[in-house]
Amino acid sequence: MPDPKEEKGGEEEPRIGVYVCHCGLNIAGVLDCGKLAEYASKLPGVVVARDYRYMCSDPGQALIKKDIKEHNLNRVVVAACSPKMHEPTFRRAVADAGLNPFYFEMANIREHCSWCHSKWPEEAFEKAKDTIAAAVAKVGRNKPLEEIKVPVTKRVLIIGGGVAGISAALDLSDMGFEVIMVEREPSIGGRMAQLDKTFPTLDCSICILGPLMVDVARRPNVKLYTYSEVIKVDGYVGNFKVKILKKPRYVDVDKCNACGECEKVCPVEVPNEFDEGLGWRKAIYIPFPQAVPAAYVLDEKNCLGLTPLVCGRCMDACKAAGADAINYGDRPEIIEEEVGAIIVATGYDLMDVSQIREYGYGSYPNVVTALELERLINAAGPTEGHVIRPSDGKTPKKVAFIQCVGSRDLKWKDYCTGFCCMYTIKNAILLKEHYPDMDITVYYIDIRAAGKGYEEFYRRARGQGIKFVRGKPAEILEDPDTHNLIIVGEDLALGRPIREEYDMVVLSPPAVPRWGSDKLSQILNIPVDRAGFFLESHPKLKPIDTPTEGIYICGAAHGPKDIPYSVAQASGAASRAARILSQDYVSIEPIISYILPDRCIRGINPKIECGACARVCPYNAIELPPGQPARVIPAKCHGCGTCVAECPYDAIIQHHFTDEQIASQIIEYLKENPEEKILAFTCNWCSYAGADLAGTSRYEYPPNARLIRVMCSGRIDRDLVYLAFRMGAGMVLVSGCRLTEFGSDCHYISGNVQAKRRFEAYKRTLVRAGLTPSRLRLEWVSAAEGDKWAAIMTDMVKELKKLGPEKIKAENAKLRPFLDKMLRKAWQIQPVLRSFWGEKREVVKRV
Amino acid sequence: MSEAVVERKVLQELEEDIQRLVEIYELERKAAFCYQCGTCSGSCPVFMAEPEYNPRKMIMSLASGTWQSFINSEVAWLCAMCHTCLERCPQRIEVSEILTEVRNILARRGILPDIIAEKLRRVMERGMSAPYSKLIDKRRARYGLPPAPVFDAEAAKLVFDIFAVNHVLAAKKAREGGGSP
Repeated sequence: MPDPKEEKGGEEEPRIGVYVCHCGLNIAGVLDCGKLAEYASKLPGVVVARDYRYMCSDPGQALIKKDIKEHNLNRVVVAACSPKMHEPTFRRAVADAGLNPFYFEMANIREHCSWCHSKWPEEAFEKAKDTIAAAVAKVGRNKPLEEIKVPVTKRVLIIGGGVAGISAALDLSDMGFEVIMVEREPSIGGRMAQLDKTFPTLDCSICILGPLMVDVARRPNVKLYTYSEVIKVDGYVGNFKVKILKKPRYVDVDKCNACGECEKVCPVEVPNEFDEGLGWRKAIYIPFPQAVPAAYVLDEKNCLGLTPLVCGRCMDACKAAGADAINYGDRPEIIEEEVGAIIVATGYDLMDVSQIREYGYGSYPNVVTALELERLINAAGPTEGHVIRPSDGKTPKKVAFIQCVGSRDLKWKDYCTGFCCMYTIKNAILLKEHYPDMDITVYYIDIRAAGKGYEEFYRRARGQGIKFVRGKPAEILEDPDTHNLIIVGEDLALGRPIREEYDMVVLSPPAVPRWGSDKLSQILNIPVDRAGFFLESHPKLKPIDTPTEGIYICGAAHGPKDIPYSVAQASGAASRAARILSQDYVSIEPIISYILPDRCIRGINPKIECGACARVCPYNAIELPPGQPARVIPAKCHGCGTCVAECPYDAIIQHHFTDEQIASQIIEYLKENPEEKILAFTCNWCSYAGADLAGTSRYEYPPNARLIRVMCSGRIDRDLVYLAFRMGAGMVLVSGCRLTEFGSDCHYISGNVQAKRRFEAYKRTLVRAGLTPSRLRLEWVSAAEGDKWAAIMTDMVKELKKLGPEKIKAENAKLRPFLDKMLRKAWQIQPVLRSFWGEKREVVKRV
Repeated sequence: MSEAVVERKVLQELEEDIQRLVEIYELERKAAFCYQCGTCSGSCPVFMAEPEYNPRKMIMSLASGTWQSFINSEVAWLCAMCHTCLERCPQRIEVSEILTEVRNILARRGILPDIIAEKLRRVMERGMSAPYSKLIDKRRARYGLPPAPVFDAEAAKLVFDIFAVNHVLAAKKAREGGGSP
């Protein structure tokens, strides 16, 4: 008997096995899996079709393996959950049985069907049937592919030197990997360095953070770049190339001994950012006493001139002190580093609550934010730990805290920041300890004290005489003479109006992504959620990974988080990164593009200098040797397929997503009652994942859509849209990652930009040929926008019903000659079109 | 303040109207988002003076079907129409608009306090709700304002017909006279 690996899945006739998963009742509760299997068994090429309770279980996988051997299967389709969930599982299973893993397809009948269409069981059943048929059609045309192996650079880049970044750096350094840490501020330490005490144990924040900061800087395998920013990242998992901009510090970190002589003579005073603007610093300064590196920094914006001609006092003082660390000639420097993995730990900012006019922050001096109070109460802060009213410097006797100022509010930030309840309780307890007679009231909507020791801490605060009043104050008024504040609102427990005067009011603002996160998301090519925090790959099972392999997130960069949670997540990120760094090679999915040399116009006619593919490639992965066909560099290609759609000569194919394979899905989907269906092209990273999320979140929407997954919206070829309408589709949706005026969230940098440009062109052509504009839509749906996906679907179906099948049929008949003409070429080169419309070939010839 | 102005039978008639209101504003769904923070009531100038008028409780009672208590009292008519509650609601519930709609429903059935009916009558007759006297013209002259414009009863009737003001008053009269509206 010949080696099965050689034999199976060659050019022989497909022998397909279809497996319909019940997923307990997740699928079987809505769809009749037995009937689906029976339907599948009659599809062309299908040898065996079965249904089983849990396909992903061991016995389920064993069933596939056994059938491959017994029935000599060479292709497998599993109709179950999203391929984003279990495609790797089943690919492994078929590989174990000796098949090429790319001879496998998944039909998503859970996230895209049973979970979101339970109100329409009959139509959902039709959708499931079509989905399975399309997967069967595609798998029959799949080609065997080999994974590409690339070597791994065993170093890691950590962006952000707060407590999360530091923890991850220490973990990875302990494991023996080289760590490069980039921090934008002059010192590492982040937000935690600003805090006074930490909840619920009241440890001194800098006392527990300081040793870690020193440790990370001292380690020989940690390279620290402070006052630096990441400006460019190229490459892919295992092989990232990073450009770091080192801003001029004008002080030599190695020579500076932090004696402080320069600071004494500096004539410029500006508000200190580290003290939230409550204190002052000089133009040459050290952010805080425990700063790492323990070196001064010269703030070029505020320095009088950076030359001895203007001032130069700091330089003289430094020389006199014997250090000679100051160099006015310092210039920005760009450093290049190579790393195998990246951890993003950029942290958070607090929202500017001066926008919330009713609380008067910014115009009433005695309304402060929690972080400002943190600096006031900190012994190293501008007041040396004395809490005073900014208006008159007196110690307040009566203080109110207001919770959820902008958080949990649809007008500002709809999410809960999570840690404000706890730090407010902590600050209230600290105030009570410093000033036992102080009258303290906390106004809240809900106290969220879910954490180890948190509820006990809350109880402790109540026991110390801190008053908790349920009710969000409506507004704060100020007495203009005394600058006292009057809180107006309702006491919900008593249903009575509140009108109370306080000396000071502390607001708890929402945490928002650290400034520059949007820019970083573009540099790194990783998406953000609606609030702007970095988006995880899967909310449950990959909470630390980003959709880009090799890039991980931890700490508040991922969403508001307290210290223990940030540290735990940092260790998680370190271990995820180590998973890559500990290997010698990583494999890359071979779904890259390939240029057919005999079809590329540059090869056919060397005089034509076409470079359309190279122009749209976001990764410069296509080279154009003069007079020769264009070539794809496999290690650089990320597999978006934008070049495939761009090539005017149809000379490029994308492995596993060929025109032929996608066309076979379109035809299968639209064989019956096409005018009632919506053909949706979705990109793998955002829109398909968004549709998955709609299912996971159980948003119900009508089951008219038929989804085709491509890697990027940039892959969507004009011809595919024409084919959909030629098949009679009621509507076509093209959707990808978000493209807004703030930039593109595209996983492949700019695929959606190309998709939009192309969409506008073919839509214009189609509308001119007689298409109702509403039948062709372009929508951006991010992986976090399940609700938006459901809303778009509902809206499109409403529109579809309004148009009615008769009108659509008539319009399609009118469009047909035009579409036949446009598809003439595709017809010649795609066997699937010939096999479906073979009898009508003469029509094409006539056109 | 909270003496009953509507008898039991009328409450049953209102049931249908309120139900429609709840549906139009998707109140059951929207009120499900209300996390009872008290921003609306805390913002309300009427609540500050008269805690019995509590927009937070009124919206909740509409959504939960226990609205009889507040409709059956004059507090429903106290709203000053400043719309601060609507502006500030963190869950974007249209508090003041819903409560205005409630009053419209009541008025259509002729259920309105005497003082409001009296004001309506005055506006219909004389074009203004405050009692008019020569003193007003004197004061206007002192501020350099022209004499009050002459009330055009014919033209105004058109407007009042559109808003069915007469119907409201007739319904109230019929109700109090013992007949059914």
